[in-house]
Amino acid sequence: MSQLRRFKATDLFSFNNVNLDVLTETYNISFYLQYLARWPDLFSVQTTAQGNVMGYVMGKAEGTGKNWHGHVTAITVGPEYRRLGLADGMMDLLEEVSEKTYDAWFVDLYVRVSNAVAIGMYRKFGYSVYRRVKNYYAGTIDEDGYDMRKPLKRDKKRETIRENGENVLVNPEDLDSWR
Amino acid sequence: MADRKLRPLYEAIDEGHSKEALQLANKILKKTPDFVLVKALKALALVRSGKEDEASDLCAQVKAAQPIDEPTLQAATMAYKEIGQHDQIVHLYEAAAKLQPNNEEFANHWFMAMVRGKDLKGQQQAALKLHKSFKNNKYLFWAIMSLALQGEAAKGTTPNLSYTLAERMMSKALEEGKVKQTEEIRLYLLILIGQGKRKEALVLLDSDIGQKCLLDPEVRQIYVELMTETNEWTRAFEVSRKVLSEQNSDDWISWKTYFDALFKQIAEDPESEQRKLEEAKALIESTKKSALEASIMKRGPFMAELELDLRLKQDSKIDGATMLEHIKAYFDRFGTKPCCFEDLQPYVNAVLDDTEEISSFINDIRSLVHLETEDTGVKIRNIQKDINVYKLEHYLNTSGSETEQDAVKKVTELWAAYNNALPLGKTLEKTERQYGDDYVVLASHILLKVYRETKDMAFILHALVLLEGALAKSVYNFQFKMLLIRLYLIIGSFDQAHRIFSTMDVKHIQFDTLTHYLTDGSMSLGQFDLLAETLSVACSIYKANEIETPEMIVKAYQYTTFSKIQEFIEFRSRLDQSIQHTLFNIDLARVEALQTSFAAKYGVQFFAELDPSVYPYDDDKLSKLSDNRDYGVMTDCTPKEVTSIEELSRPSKRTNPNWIKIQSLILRTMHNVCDSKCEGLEIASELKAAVTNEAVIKDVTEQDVFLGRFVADVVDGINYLKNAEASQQQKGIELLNSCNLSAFISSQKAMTDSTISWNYFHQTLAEVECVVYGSILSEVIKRTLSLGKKKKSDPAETTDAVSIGNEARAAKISV
Repeated sequence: MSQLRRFKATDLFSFNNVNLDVLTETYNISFYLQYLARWPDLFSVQTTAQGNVMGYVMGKAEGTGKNWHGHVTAITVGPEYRRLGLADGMMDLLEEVSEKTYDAWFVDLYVRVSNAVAIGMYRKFGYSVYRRVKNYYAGTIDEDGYDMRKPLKRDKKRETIRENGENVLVNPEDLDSWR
Repeated sequence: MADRKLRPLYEAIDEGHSKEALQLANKILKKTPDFVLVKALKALALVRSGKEDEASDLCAQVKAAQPIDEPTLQAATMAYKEIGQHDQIVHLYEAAAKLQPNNEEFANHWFMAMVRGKDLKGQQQAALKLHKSFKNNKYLFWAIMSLALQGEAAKGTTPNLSYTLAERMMSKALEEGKVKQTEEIRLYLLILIGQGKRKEALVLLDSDIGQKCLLDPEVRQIYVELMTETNEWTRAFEVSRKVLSEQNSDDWISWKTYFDALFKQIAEDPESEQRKLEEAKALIESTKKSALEASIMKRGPFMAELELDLRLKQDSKIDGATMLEHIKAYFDRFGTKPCCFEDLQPYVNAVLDDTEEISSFINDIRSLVHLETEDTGVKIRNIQKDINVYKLEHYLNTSGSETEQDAVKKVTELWAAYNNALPLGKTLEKTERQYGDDYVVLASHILLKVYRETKDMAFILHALVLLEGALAKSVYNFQFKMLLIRLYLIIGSFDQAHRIFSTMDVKHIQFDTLTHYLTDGSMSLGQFDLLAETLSVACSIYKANEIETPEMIVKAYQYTTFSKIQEFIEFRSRLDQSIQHTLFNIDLARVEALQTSFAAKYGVQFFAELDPSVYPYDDDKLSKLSDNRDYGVMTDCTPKEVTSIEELSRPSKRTNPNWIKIQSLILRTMHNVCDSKCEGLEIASELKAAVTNEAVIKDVTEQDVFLGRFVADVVDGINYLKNAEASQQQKGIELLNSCNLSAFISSQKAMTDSTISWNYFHQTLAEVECVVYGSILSEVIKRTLSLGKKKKSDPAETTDAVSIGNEARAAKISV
């Protein structure tokens, strides 16, 4: 139970309960405001009845031709508000807007191959692995990422997804040519 | 030719080798002194080497040359931006656009430069010119947006011509079929709503083009809001009912609208009450039923039941017992979720008032917790439920009748519960919290409360031990960290607090909202280098706001995202006016004052060179400061009317505008008296007025007041000394002799284990500041007297205060 609305620039002053969590990165001002300026309808926040920030999702629309798609850049839920199905509602909204406003073919997102909980959750939402990107997550320990996709209504023949994407390995520098 | 020659220069700038860039630029300019592009690049290299004045001069030369080539304009723009002279970019492009009236890009830059410089009228004119020359509708909407912003700025004045004109232009654009995008409708809406024309806004959304915008979820929300604001309750009721029954029964906005509309309708037609309420209950039942069948059970319908009860209760149309049953049922269903406590807060308050009721309620819900089970999953969920019982108990137990012994017993109980939960979390990821962590948070809250009542530091130490122990098991639990930071500050240990804070990875916007947890009042703890470093790093957010946010406002225009422009402007101004920025500035100046004043003459020099403009003191400026500090991060189970954990855990009063007022006036008084070009009179008397004003000093500590008084009195004496008349000078000497620090300093007890605390160090710092400022002022006295050549008195006679101060300083150092 929550209020789902567009993220406002001034929410940056009060999103700490979510962003202090170690798995949620805090970016510079331009990062958030650029998304808000360009895709205001793909950046939503969920608050409690009392107005506390519970979680948010930020996304964008990109690509050309049949690669025109919605992309989930970040989705996060604060520690006290997990296991309430919030991610579910936020993804629904992002998919709805990608489909109706942007007329996209699919929605995609990246996830660490080790993050079984998240992968399981995205599968439940209808996403499947399209490809595995080598060392997508660079850091002290590099890790591969799955590119997961969910086709939208426009993709009637379900051309934008495939089976056994787990076995399709690509390098990060080749991502654009695949798009 | 130019390209090849310039490449190394560009590369040096890009790679941040400003020194090398300067050398390269000078070399080229030696051969071709009028190469404007190179001048602009040199200006950029100069700013980046910290030579802003030189850069500014060079930029002026570039501007005077009226360049029209893109590279020069770009380089000069960047240089101006980094110096912070946005208005000069306007002139740069205005000239270029005039020289090349058909160049659309120049005119665009001209517009954008005005957006950055907040020149609303100017940007309106530029947009209109763009529209006239290049016929793109986008420019028309830019002009209308610029007008709408002027209308907003002039809100309250009638007639508001900017809004009127904006509305007229918008309605004409609509008639001519120029309005197509949702964001353009949003622009129309903000003009109408800004003028309070909600009926007209609703009509707009009812029109064909308005209906197309309803694809956007936020426009749907605005639509419903407009219905309720214009008392279209039947429509609001229908829309929200439909959303709840057909789309999303977890949407709290719709439930609130639904109930608002329901009770409005009942008020209008009392006879319909029975039927309407039955209908609402049926909706709740049916949505509950589908929620129960779904894979993840949503709380919406169940909480809606409580909300309906609450509204009925306010009119005494439901008995407490029924509502209490619903609350217990909710607890039984959702008690396993951490947010259950927050969910229930408004409802338990409404039904429970006397202690007997409360304890029987707590007993009832405690009986719903089943910790004796072998099933790990069930047990984990019941631990959360148990925590929620404790939280509700803490929340409802406001009588304060708990004895110290009761409290300690409760803490032992919570710690045992925490330890019992630990084995279940063995397989948790390092990034996750242990299941029983909130037991420890609650135990710390209780200990903190007892400390506040007894002033016995042992309770703080107890809490520190519990929290450090639990943090070792949940290394990323920021709730533990926030409490630890605060408790370490209470015992006076800044470096321990800093150690914890530095693991929280606070950055960017959080510098403005979260740094206060560590730094508020921490000047008193004496770790000046560490503190100053923290403050300086945090200040980077304000520079980022200056550079980045205007670019993002420009982007919003470029993408014609009209719905975000006001929001970005508000964001920019809240950071621009941030109270935290002023607080950082004050503490940085205080640290530097102490660190440079190892010899009094350097202190005089420091204060003489201090730029007083960043220390506001007049009420008008202070009231415009924006307090963006986030106080809502700490878990808190105390009810609203009781002192919050955030307050209980701070070592001293929250820094506030009155604190700023006194500190600013001290710094400004010191500046005026040290800078021979200034007259110290007016500011010193402002300071005196502030430290004797009850309304001001209630917000600061007595030590802050003492320092302010001391400085004001000494400066007062100095001003008499400067007088030509002997009687006035005598008065000055008397005044100075009465400025005595010894009583203040001897009031401090010796430091022992039981007195060591923030309070102790705060007193110490105030003494040190008095001594240091005193010695700086005595240097000023010496100079004043030697200027007056044949003064009768010996400077040493007049500076009792200072000699006392020096003794005290020696004593402090030995401590």
